[in-house]
Amino acid sequence: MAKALPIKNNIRRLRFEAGEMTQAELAEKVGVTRQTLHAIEAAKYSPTLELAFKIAAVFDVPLDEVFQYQQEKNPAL
Amino acid sequence: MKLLENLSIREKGLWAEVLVNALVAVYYFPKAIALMAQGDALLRGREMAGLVTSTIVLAIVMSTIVFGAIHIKGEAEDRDERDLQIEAQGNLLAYRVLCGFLVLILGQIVLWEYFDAAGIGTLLKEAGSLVVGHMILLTMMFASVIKVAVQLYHYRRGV
Repeated sequence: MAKALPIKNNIRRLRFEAGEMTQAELAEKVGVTRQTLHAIEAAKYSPTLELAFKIAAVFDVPLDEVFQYQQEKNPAL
Repeated sequence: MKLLENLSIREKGLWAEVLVNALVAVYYFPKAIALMAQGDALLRGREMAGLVTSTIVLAIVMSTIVFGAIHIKGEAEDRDERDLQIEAQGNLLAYRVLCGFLVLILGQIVLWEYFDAAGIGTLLKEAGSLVVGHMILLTMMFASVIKVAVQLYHYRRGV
């Protein structure tokens, strides 16, 4: 089973609040495939910083409202 | 057919690559082995050249048909950052496999020269340079399969 990424996101909620925007629509706006957006939304793929900013810009919200880094138990990380 | 509908254009392209490689291998290797089994294949340069030429033509025709069929049914997809990352992972493992096998083949060639100087025959020396060439070809094809397999694994896993 794939290890869960420490970066969580609120893309599903933000899409819902943006008038049920589809994954395909958002993917087209940020210039990736629907499969990539699906992987990001399912927290299976961490986007580059550039793509993360593009997604936040589509919803007109700050980056940390879209993505949150969940610190592991080891405080050194 | 439902399975095909669930695949992205990129996954279909990767499977097409596997299919074309398999068909080319099934066409080429039995004929090449039969040719080499007849003795010193270097003396049959014309037959070998004909086989290589027909294999190249077959590969081009097969690629045109298979990739054409994929792109008629679906729109072309540009590669994004995730595709490039997955491709890089495939390339990395394929490169390591390629290097590993090439080192083994080079090692055999070094041993060949060493034992030849001592008057002892080796497996490769008996087989001839054409067999070594085919071992390198097989290594390249195996690395190509590894590259595609890694990509398909990551696409299926959803990474």
